[in-house]
Order: sequence, then C-alpha cells, then structure tokens
Amino acid sequence: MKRTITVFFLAWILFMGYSCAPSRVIRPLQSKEIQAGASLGGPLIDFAGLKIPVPFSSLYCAYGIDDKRTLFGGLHTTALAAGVGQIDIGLTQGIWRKSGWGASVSPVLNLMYGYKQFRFYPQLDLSLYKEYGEKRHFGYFSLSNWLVPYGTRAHNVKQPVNFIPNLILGNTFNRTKMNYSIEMRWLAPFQNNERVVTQYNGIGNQGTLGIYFGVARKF
Amino acid sequence: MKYRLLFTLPLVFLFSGCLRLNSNLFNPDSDINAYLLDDYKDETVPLDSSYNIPKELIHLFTLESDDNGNKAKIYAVYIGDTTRIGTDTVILYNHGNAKNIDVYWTRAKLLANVGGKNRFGVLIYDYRGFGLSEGQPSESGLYADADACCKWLKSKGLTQDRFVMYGFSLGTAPTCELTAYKRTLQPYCFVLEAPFASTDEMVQDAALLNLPAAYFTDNKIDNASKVRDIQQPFMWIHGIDDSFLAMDTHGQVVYDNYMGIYKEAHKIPGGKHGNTPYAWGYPAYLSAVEAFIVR
Repeated sequence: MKRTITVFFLAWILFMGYSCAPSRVIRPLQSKEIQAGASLGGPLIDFAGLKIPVPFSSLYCAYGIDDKRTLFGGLHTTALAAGVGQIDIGLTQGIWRKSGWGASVSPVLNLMYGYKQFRFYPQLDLSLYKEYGEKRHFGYFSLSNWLVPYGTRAHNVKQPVNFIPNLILGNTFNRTKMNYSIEMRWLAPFQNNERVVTQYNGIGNQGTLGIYFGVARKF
Repeated sequence: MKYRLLFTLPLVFLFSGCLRLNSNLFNPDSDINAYLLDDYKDETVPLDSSYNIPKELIHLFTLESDDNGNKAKIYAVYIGDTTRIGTDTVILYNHGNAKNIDVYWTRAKLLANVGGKNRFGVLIYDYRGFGLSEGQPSESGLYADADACCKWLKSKGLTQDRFVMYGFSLGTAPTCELTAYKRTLQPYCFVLEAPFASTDEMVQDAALLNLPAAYFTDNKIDNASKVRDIQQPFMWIHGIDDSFLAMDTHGQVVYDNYMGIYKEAHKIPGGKHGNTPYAWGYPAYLSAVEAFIVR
C-alpha cells in the first residue's frame, strides 16, 4: 500500500471529528435573534497540484436566549450522506466585553450515530474577538478543545490522546441580513503527523491545516 | 421557505449512505496494455542483474476467479517450472494496493531467489481491477482472487505441506483470511510484511478519535482478529520507519494477537513502508525468509 491511497479517504476520515465544521457562534447573538447558516470546508488536501480544502458541508441554527447566551445546533450533511447522523449542540456564553473586545466560552456536545455504533465527544471552545468597522465585523481567535472520553480504541489499543486542541483564526463580515465567515484551523497542532496512514498538510509535521467558509442569514 | 425545507430534507436523507469509501482502500492502475515486468523501473526495491530470472521460467497466464457468482478473468505470473509444482515448494505473493504486478515484480523476483535461484516457485497475480485483471476491486474479491490462485496451484499438484503464503500491506488481508479459514488450500506457514491491523485501526490512526471504520466503509478487513484463528508458523516483517502503517499500531498488534505454534518478528531499522527488503539488505532478507520456510 502506498501513500497514494485516495486523497478523499483521508479527508473523509477527518470530516467526522474536529475538522468537520467551523465555529458556530463566537459572538453571542442579540436576544431573540435567530440565525441559520451553512458551512463548507475542511482540511487541506493535495489535489491536482493544489492544496484545497475538502468541501465538507454542514447546516446550523442558533438562537439568542439573551444578549449573552446563544443556543445552537448543527447537522453535518456530509456525514449524513455517508450514512452517519452527526449533530452538535452547544451554548455560547459571553463572559467579557469591553471597547469592542469580547470573549466567550462554548461548551458543545458532538453526537454521532451510524451502523449501530454511537460516539460522543464533548468540546469546549474559548474565543476572543475584536469588533471593527461600522457594521461590527469581527475577527477572532479560538482555542477549540475536543475531549475523547474513551480509554481504548480498536483491538484494545490504548486511546493515544484524550484531549485534542485546535487553534482557530477567523473573521466574520456582517451585512444587514447576512453574514459571511472565513476561518482557518490548525487541527491537532500538538500531534505529529508523520506516522499515520494519511498525508496531512500541517506545520512542521504537526497536525493539519483546514479552511472553512460560512454564510448565515439573520432572522 | 417551508416548502423548500420539505423538499430538501427528504433529498438529504435519500442520499444518506451514498458516500461510502468501499473502493478507496484500492489504488489500482488498470490503464495498461501489457505488463512490463523486467522493463518496469522500480527504484523502491532495485535489483541488479544477478537476480534476473530466465525468460523460460516466467509464465504469464489468466485465471477465472469467482466471487460468489461475480466472475472475473485475472492475470497471474508464475516464476518457475510449472511442471514441477507437484514437487516444488511454492510462495503465493499477495501484493499491496498500488497499481499492478509491475510495481511488485522485483519483489516477486527476490522471492524467486530465496535459497538460491528458482529454488521455490513464486506466483504473483493482480486482484480484480488491478492491471489487466477484469472487474472491480472489493474485499470479497481479494479473497476470491487469492483462492483462484490456490485452485490453480492445487490443480498443478501443490499440497499444503509445500505451500507458503506471503502478504505485503493490503495483501496481508487475503493472506490472513485464507490462512485462517480453509477454502481450497491453506499454507503450512505464512509471512506478513507491513501488515495493517484492520480498517478500524486505519481510520483511528488517521483521525486520532476512536471512530468506527463502519462510518466510512463496508470493508471489514480485520487481520488483528483473524490472526487469532491461525495456527500455522508466522513470520512478521515491518520497517521501523514505516510512516504509512505504523509498526506499533498495526504490525505489532497483529503479531501480539497471534497465538499459533511459532512466530518470529523482524523489525527493520531504516525500513519504510515499501522498501523494507532493500533496507534490510537482500542477502539478509533472503536468508531470513529461507530459514523460516525450511525450519
């Protein structure tokens, strides 16, 4: 077997986990505000001589409980097309805000079910954002942390990591009814990517990079 | 909006399950008109002329392989004297997932030099969908195609006590399957070079998460479990620097799970996924394989 295993094999494997969708809500919505959106993007792969993000898709909906708390949920449509139901449910809590700066924390639960097997992975995102411009666009930096609450994996081999951090840099452009986001992720930056079956595009043989695009409609 | 949703949601569910990766384990090259064999340039396992095989001992032929009614004509090459299969020891070589026989030709030639030139017969073949072999690759097709080779060898007089099976990488799947569970002919010993533990382990190796392989593929290749059902002597070869199928998470698991009558491990410093015989050094590699076969 050579590394020439189809590029999409690696990408598909990644889509289920921490690489499948961009951040849902960084800055809490206004009270009673509803937002529905879609995302496209994934880890970078080599394709036809270019490095392109895998076009994994998801849909999500968010609701502002009040000005500081936003409830959200997402459906991973690419996973669904593979026969696996994957959803994420979370809450973004604004924890600090001053002079256009803000910080939030988002506990999330990722649930997957397919082929009679269930998995769940808790996630905790910490985000810092800065608003700018008249339309209150904002750039953000997040530390997204995936927890793996399982002690072993196939053949009773010890699960090698139980905590997978991801570094995120993004920007959201606001329009009256819509907003648009672009986000770059460095997935699993503390994991060496040299001795795995897939060819990752990380930094210095660590983890892999991903690019995501999002669009959302406000109601 | 409501109607759009009503239209879209059923479509989403309709397409559920259509993105399976069943064929993605295979990387065949069937865009060839003929096999090049000695004319194929392979820098991974380069051989000098001392390993050449006389032309009269290279036999290209076809077999019919029947995968539960899904029949395919597959191509095979026997290195040796076909009239002596009834008395010779024969190695069946199950190759990896890349391209076709040409890529593995130098490996087959190497094995034809184990214990001296053409001491053992060697049979190499292309799985369905690889090279000139007809059909589409599949897990069950791998097993059927390997079994078709066993049938041919048996028809030429080969018996179990002179039959060795050698699997490299993807080829470790049919090797474990046919060694563990009798179809036409079980080998009396088997060699796994750079085996993978299972499709589950491949997925989890890549994802870091303990995701089931079933989320991605219907293939249920599980060498690590099947090897528990094997009693025949087992030789394991793995490059320590294998960055594709890591030695610790794949080969070591298979080796540890084996509970048969004899096993030996060869962890080769400098060995990567495709070049372990080269990294080992051909004389040492050939001696070790010979010692295992004749022990």
